[in-house]
Amino acid sequence: MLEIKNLHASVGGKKILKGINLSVKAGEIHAIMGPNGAGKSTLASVLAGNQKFDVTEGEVIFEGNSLLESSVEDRARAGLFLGFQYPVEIPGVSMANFMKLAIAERRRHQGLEPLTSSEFLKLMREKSQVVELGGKLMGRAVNEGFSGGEKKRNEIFQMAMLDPKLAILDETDSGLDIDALRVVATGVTKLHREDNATIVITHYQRLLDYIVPDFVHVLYDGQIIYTGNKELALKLEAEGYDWLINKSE
Amino acid sequence: MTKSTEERLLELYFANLDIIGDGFPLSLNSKRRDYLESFNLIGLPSKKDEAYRHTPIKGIFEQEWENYFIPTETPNNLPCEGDCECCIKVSNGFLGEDYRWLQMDNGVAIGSIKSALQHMPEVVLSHLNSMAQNDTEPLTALNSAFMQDCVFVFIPKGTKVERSICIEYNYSTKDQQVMSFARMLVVAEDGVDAKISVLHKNREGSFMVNFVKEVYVGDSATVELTEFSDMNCNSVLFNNSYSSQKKQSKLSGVNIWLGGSVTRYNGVGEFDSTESENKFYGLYVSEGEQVFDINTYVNHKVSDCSSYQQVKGIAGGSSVGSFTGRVYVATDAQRSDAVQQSKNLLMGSDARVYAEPQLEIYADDVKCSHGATVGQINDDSIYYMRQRGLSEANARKLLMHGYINDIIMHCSIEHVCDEIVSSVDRIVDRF
Ligand SMILES: Nc1ncnc2c1ncn2[C@@H]1O[C@H](COP(=O)(O)OP(=O)(O)O)[C@@H](O)[C@H]1O
Ligand SMILES: [Mg+2]
Repeated sequence: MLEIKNLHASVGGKKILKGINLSVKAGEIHAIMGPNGAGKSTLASVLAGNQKFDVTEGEVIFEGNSLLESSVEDRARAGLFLGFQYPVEIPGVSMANFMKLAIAERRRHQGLEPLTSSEFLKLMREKSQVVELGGKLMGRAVNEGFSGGEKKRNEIFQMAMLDPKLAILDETDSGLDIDALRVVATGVTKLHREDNATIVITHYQRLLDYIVPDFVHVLYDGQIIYTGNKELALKLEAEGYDWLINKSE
Repeated sequence: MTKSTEERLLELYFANLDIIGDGFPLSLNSKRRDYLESFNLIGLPSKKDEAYRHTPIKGIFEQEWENYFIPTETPNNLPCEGDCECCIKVSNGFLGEDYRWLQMDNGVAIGSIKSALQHMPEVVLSHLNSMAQNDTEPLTALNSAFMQDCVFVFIPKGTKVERSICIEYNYSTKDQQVMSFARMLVVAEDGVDAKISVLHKNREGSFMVNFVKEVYVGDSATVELTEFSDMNCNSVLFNNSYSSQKKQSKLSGVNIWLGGSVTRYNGVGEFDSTESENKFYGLYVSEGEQVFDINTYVNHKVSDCSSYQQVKGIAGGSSVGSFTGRVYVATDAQRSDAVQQSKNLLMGSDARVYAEPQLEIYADDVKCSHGATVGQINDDSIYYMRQRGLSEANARKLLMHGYINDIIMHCSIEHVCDEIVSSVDRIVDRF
C-alpha cells in the first residue's frame, strides 16, 4: 500500500528526514515511536503533502502511484488520512458542513454519487458512535472550543467518516486522560480492516495497550534505527531509547 | 467668489423650503432652521478632521448632486420574498401611495411620518429628533433639515411580533448623480419583542445617501435589527444611526455593509436606563478602492448595562477599512460591561485596515475589554481542510464563509440572511 524509499526532507534548509525506508501493506498496523524532535510529525506532514517541507531525495509510492507529485487534496481523495497532532479550529464552519464537503470530494474521487441529506445524517450518526462523540458537536464549528480530548476524538470521527485506505495518526494519544485514550484507541481498532492500514505515531507505549501493532519502528534523528514487534514498545517503555541510540551510533 | 458647498446647500434648502416642509407641523418645520444653522456652523468635515480621516466628505459633497424634492418613481409594491409581518418599500427616499399607513390587528403600524403625524402625533413628536445628534453631527443635522418623507415603525406596548418587519430602501435613477435624505424612526414601546430588517439597495445610478435612523427601545423590550446595504460602485452611503434604550431592554443589531465607493457608518447607542444590553455585530467586505469607515459610540451613562460589539472586515484590492469604536463609561455607571472586538482579514496586498478602540472610563467597578486583529487567511486551516479532500479554492471559500457566518448567524430573519449570504458570496468568490 505504501512504500517509502530513502526519503529525505528538510525545512528552511535544515535536514530533518535523513533517509527513511518503510513498507506498509494492507491489513497492517505500524507504530512509529521515538523521542521528541526525531522527525515523526515531519514524516507525517511530508506524506500528507505539507508544502512547508522540501523533499530533497527519495520516493514514496502509495497504491501503485508516486505520491510526492500530487497535491494535499489529491492525496486525501485517494485515501490518505492524517490525524493531526494539533487539530485546527475553523470558526463559523460547522462540523456537519465541513464533513459534507469532504465526503463529497472523497466520493467524487471514488466515482460515487454524493450522499443524500438523509444518507449523510445517518452516516454521521453511525460514525459518531465509533468515538462516542455526542451529536451536539456536529452543529458546532470545527474544533472551536473543543476540549483536547474532543479534538482528538473528532480526528478519529473524521477518519471514520472518510474511510481512508491509509490513516496516519500523529500523537492522537497525547494529552488524553485514560478514558479518552481508551475511546480513541478502540475507535481506531474498530476501523481497522484487512483492506486498510494505519500508522500510529506515539511516544508512549500506553496507546499500544489498546492498539496492537504488527511492527514498531523507532525513529531517531530522521532515520528509522530499529524495527521490532509489539514487545519492542514494552522494552522502550521500561528502558527508554538510549540503548538503541547508543547501538546505532 | 465661488460659493462654498455649505452655502450651496443652504441656498438649495431655502429655494425649496415650501416643498420640503409640506405636510409637517410648524413646530417641526421651525426646527429645521436650527439644524441647518448647526450644520452651517460646524461645516462639512474635512480630511484633517481626525474622525473623518478615511472619508473624504468634503470632496464628495463638492461634486454635483441633484436632489429630488418630489417622488420620481413609484416603488414596486411586490410583496417581500420573506415571511414578514409587514413590509414597506421606499423609492429614493419616498414612500409609495400604497404605503402611507398600514396598521395591523395587533396594533403594529408602519408608514410615512406624515401619516403618523395624523394618527399618533404625540408619539412622533416626542421621538423624532430626540436621539439624532443634530447639534454635533453635521451630516445628521443636514438630514434633519432636508428630510421629507420618513419611514415610521410603531410597535405598541407589550406586543410580540412573531414575523419580521421589513423596510426596503431602493435607490434608482437614470440621472447623473442624486442625493437622498432618507430617514427612519422606530418606536418599540415597553415589553415589545420584534425583529426588523432595513435594506438599502441601489440597483441603478449613483447616489449619495445621507441616511438617519432613530430607534427607541422601551422598558424590557427586545429588538433585533438587521441592516444591510448594498450600493452601486459609484454611490456613497452615510448611515447615521441612533438608539436609545430604556430599562432592561435588549437591542441586537446586525449590520452588513457592501458595495459603494464610500460607506460611512456612524452608530450611537445610548443607555438611558439601567440593566440593558446592546449587541452590535458588523461586517464589511471591501474590494477595489472602496472605503468602509465604521464608527460606533456606546454611552454607558447609567449603571449595570452591557455592550458587546464585534466588527469584522474582509479587505481586498486596495480598499480601506476602518473601525473606530468608542465606549464611554460615566462615573456613575458602575458594573458596566463593555466588550469590543475587531477582526480583519486582509485579502489584498494593497488593502489597509485600521482598528481603533477608544475607551473612556470614569467608573471604577467595570469590566471593559477590547481587541483587534488583522490577519491573512490562515495557511494551517487551509492545509487542514485540504487534507480532508477540499480543493484549495473551496477551502478558502469555506474559511471565509465561516468568518462571515460568525456575524450573519446573529440575524434570525431567514430571507434576509439568505439575501446577505448570496450577496457576500458574489464578492468573496472573486477573491
Ligand atoms: N516548520 C519548522 N521549521 C523549523 N524547524 C522545524 C519545523 N518543523 C519541525 N522542525 C524541526 O524538525 C525537527 C523534527 O520535528 P518533528 O517532526 O515535529 O518531531 P517529532 O514529531 O518527532 O517530535 C525538530 O528539531 C523541529 O524543531
Ligand atoms: Mg510530533
